[in-house]
Amino acid sequence: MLDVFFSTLTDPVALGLCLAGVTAGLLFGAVPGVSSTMALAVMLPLTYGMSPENAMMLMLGVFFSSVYAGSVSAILLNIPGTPGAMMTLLDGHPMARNGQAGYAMTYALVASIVGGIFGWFFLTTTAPFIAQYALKFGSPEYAAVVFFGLILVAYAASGDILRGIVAGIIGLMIGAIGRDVVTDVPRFTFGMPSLESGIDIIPLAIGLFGISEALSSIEKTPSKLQVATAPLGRLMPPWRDILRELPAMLRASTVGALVGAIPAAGSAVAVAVAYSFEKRLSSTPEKFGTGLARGVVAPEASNNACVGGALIPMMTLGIPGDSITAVLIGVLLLHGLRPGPGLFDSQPEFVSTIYVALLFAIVLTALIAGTLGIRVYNRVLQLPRRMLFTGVILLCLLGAFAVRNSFFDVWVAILSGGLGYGFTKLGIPVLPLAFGAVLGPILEENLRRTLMIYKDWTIFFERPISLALITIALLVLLGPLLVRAVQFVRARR
Amino acid sequence: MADLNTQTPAHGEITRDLVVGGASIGLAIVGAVAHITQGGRLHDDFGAEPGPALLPELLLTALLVVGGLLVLRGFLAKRSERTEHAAQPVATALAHPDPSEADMPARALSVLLTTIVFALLQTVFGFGVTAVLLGATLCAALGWSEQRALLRSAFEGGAIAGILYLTFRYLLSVPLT
Repeated sequence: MLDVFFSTLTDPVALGLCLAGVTAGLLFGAVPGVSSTMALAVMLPLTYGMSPENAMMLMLGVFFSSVYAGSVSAILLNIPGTPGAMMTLLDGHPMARNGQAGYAMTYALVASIVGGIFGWFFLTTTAPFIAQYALKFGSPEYAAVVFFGLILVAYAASGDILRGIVAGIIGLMIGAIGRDVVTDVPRFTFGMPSLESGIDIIPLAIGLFGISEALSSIEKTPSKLQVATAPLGRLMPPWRDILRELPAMLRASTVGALVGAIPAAGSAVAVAVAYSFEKRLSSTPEKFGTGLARGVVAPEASNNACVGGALIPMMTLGIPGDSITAVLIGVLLLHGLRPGPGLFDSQPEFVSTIYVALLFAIVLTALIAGTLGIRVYNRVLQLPRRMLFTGVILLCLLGAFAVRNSFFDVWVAILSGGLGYGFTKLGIPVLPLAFGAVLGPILEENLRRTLMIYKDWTIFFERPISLALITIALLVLLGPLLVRAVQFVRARR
Repeated sequence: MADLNTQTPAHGEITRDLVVGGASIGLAIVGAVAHITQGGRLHDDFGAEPGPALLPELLLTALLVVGGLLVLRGFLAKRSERTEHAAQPVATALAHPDPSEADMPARALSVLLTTIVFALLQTVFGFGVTAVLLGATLCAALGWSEQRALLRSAFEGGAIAGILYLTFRYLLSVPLT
């Protein structure tokens, strides 16, 4: 990894791309209505002409910095810039109202950097072992891992698992469109030649996370988004106050990295767990929500540690940790790389590039946000929404076209944007659909291979890892039903 | 869809269950028809290989079952809601959201429709001209709700589109025509 580190350090293009990614992420993440996933979907087309290494430098820069920047609008506007900042506003905005917006943003930045570095260590030390172990997986284990991931995302992405499963199944069906790779037989093509090559994941992700989210933001009444920003006040709290929060940052980072590593759990879950954990540990829990620095550092350390954690299932198993890593998998596939344990075996240098890119993203976020960012954010938040969303939609359309220079992909982006928006209105989570489309081909390949080799479905219950994964998935799936049944029987008595 | 936003939360969830369940069953039936009538060797016997029809058949069955469960849950919830209403016939008007705070799906839908029109128009005018037109239209429409001058917003949108088009066409060498 040191070789890659020093070669990146002396490569102005790679450094410049990471810097550009960090800057873009800091701007996008701060704007309410633009999530980290949308930021990545919008920036993705710019990677087409790049090497996979340079593409990761840009995208991981956007990823890490936009997660941090979500705290900016949470603190200044009381609106979370990203889902991972939804707990930050509980104490961040009261601090801003008390004239301590600058303090809150500095606490958020320091906690984000500590969380980011913790997540990075967790990633670099854990991922090689998991990948080594995953290399022993056979096709039944892989099929079970995908099934487990899909059920978990259907459960975690919304409160309603049935609607999540509907989205996951539709995603798997989208993944099955086109010619079958083994037999070359077309499926779900409705006689349309353009569907025979299948639906590309990139325009689908651009539509689901770019256009759809833009539409959801556009429908909000201006009064909901145009809120006066709080004045910054003084920026730097005393060092001893910052150091006092360090144990809380480390505890929250541990929570973030662990939760992030669970497929589909995501930063929203991590920040909620970290915040309530700190509140429970506190001797003055009643002060949480009134402008307590700990209420800012816990979720911020947690959501940035989540970045490293979420990269673990993506890199070691080829399973997205959240919606952001689902887009990152699209980037890797676009550049001809398939994430999974094989990546560690066949492309160890590329794996090191991912580690180094994340480290540079953390350092550059600290430098840029620390020196310039906090002071210019009040201006960034005044960016007119008409220009922002016009730019986002145009970038999405141009980016979708540029995938294969095909207008069919623009249609895919527009229609999946409409589908994602419709899903949101009907209370169906979008994330399982994207997961299904990404994981569908992997599930099918391993399911068919398993049945071809073992000729029996019972093999999934005979091998310990697949049995454990399927059991957990079924518990998650049927658990709520069982609880309701027990409650119903008790009520009848 | 707009109605869902003005219903009580519980009633909205019931309607969503019924709509999503019904749509899932409908999609499963359409998918099944497409799958059965799909030509080629889709339904051939591939020997030891389970064949390309396996996954679609599993998915369509699962979609039908989950859709059925959603409809069932919706009907059961509707029945229990009716029973509760009969027992306690007090209107839950307070649960209705304040209209001034409601979302405006018409605005999002008009943006989506504008984008679809753009996709159709580009075959006539080409990508560049249509992108500028789309940028101007979107920015003017969004600026109108922000009470901005129409022409100024349109110019801003056109300029954004022009800059993006030139970036993709000449900097990133994307063959936009």
